[in-house]
Amino acid sequence: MKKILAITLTAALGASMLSGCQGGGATGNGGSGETSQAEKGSESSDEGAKEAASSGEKTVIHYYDWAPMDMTIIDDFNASSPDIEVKYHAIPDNGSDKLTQLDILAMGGGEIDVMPGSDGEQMLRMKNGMYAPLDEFIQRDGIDMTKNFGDILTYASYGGVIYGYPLRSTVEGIWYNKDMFDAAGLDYPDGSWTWEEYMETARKLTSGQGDSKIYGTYTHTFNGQWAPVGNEVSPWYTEDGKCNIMADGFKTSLERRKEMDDLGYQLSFSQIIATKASQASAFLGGKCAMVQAGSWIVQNIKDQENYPHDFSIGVAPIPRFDETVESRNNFSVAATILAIPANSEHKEEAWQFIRYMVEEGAARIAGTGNYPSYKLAYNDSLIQNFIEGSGLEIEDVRVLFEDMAAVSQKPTGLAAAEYQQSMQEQTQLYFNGEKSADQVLAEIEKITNEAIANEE
Amino acid sequence: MRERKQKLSRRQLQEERAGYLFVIPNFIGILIFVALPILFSLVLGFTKWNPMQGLSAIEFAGLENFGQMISDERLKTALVNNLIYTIAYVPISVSLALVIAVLLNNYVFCKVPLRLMCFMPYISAMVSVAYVWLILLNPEGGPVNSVLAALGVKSLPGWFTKSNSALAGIILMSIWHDAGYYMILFLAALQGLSKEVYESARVDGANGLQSFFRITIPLLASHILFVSILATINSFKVFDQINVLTEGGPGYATNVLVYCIYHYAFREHNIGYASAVAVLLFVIIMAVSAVQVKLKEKYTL
Repeated sequence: MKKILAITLTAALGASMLSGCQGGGATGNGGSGETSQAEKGSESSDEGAKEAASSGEKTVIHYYDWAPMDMTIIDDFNASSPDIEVKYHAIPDNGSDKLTQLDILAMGGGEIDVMPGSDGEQMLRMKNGMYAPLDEFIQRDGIDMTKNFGDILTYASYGGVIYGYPLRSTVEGIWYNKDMFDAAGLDYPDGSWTWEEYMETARKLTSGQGDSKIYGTYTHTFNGQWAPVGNEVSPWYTEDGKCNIMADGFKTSLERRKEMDDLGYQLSFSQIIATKASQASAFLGGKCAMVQAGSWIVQNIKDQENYPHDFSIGVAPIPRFDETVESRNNFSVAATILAIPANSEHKEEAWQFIRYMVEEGAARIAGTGNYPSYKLAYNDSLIQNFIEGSGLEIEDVRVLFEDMAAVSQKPTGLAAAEYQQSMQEQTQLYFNGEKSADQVLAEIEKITNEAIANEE
Repeated sequence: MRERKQKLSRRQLQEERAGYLFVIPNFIGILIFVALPILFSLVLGFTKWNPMQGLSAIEFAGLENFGQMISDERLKTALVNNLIYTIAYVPISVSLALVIAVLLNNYVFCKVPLRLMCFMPYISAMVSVAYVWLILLNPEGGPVNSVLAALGVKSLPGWFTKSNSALAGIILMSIWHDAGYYMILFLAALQGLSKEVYESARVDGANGLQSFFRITIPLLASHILFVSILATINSFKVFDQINVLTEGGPGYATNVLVYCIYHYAFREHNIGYASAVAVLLFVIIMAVSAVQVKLKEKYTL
């Protein structure tokens, strides 16, 4: 009797353990981050599957993303396509960990057919062969990439191969507090302003002391914040494909950021690190009159609950490096692409969905406060969707879409990952006063050129 | 041995078998989720692997990864940082824990609330603790630097914003976080010491300090070594606070071994090299622990 009991117990224990593992595995495969929205999506897709059951099985493709999602795009696609079923999985938007989560899914051969790659981080994944090349599809469908996406295309390819179809862009300019400009009697800026004028404006808008100090502007710690103005005059790479960070444009831009710190026109680099300040909370909290930020800040402007504010806001292009730069509407850009993992078994179906999402979905992507990359969809109604509920005025925001001249926020060519990483790590040592500009730029150049040599 | 086995009755044999059956599920779990991954990463340390291209992309690379370590600035800095961290963290946290434990064991009035207070940091999540310390150690107007300034310190530390003080900030925070746990371990051991020894020492005229150094420390020697081993292993595992507070910066100033492994594996997708660093870490911890165990055998009563 005792023996039987023991064996039963053991078996029960073993079974519970195994099922425990299984449960864990299933969560790892994507159940974890699903939101109610996503559930809604899969529910409706279940219905779709039932309908289709009579006319044969639908191919299921899995799409993961972290951005706010308008589920009607996916529902409409599922309704309109006879043999493809998209399942959307939301993952939490938590810094670079979200990409790691996707990496592990794709590496482990998990069920994932469409994935985003964001803001320059996709270059490493392109290099490593994580995504399937899209050139064949693009040629077959006769797509004019330049017409569709313009200057942000550098974020869609690596080494001459296209791996991604741009979904949404980060278009960075200077957002400003109109009330503070009015109070100081300053004109609103436009694309003609130079760095000198920008700095002078920041000086005039800086006021107060201690806790009640209001800074003229705010520049975050990302390398994509100080470098783009330099990129107006200096390209990221030299003509023979080497790192060009020692060029005058970048060196001057680096020094200018520190100068603004030292003059007290903006929260210093060290203080941003020490207080974990963010662009949205500093600007919308009324702690600075201007902020260099991407189009994503529109989501925060709409979010009165977490970022309460009662002033009106405008946006201007980033300043011209100096008088020699042509006066046009320069914005620093980066893009998030949709890509197909190289080991996906449903590339054709994934591609069809990607095109639908990017092209047909553009207006609704704008509705979530994201800047859609697909240029052909730009019109007033899309812009109105984009700013709906933010209090921004369409006349002010139109400049982000029309006549926008792109300056690349980050290097996207060979060894882009090492280039970006070393910029981030090394320049800290200049901003906190430990090394000279020449020292840190030389170090970035050394690290990047070594990495370029390795790749060649 | 054989003799004993023969003496086992049928019933005892059955019970023995049942015992094995009870162990097997856990054993299988450990085998699959702990032992195999360790072995796998050991093997991966000798390969080049771009995990994006599946298991077939694993190429044997011999000692190449280990050769590459020699010229790796990030890793060198991480090794030095880790040693500094260990050398500062282990003695300070262990001796602090011991002193607090002795005080709370004997002399203090409201023992229980005080013990709880000392243990509190350990059960708080590292991420939230890190944010609190970020505020405490804010170089401009943070409480710590304000006190230092009031005491007349001229060149205030920049803490997490400067290379020369970022690691110190991390060490300080880790000691505060972990000392409470080591204290509990010591308290448990102190409860087991007999009062008679202390009483006779007092009769012989020993004061508090003398009985601490002559009685408590020798009697607790094996526990002290055990806690030191624990603290050493913890010191090589430091990661959370660095990932939250400094991301290894400024420059490489707070890179440590585990952070390096994370960086190479998940930022550069260089799993082979990351595994090689993991092997290095494994060897270091093994070596240090072996020395400590030897010491334990030698010095304990």
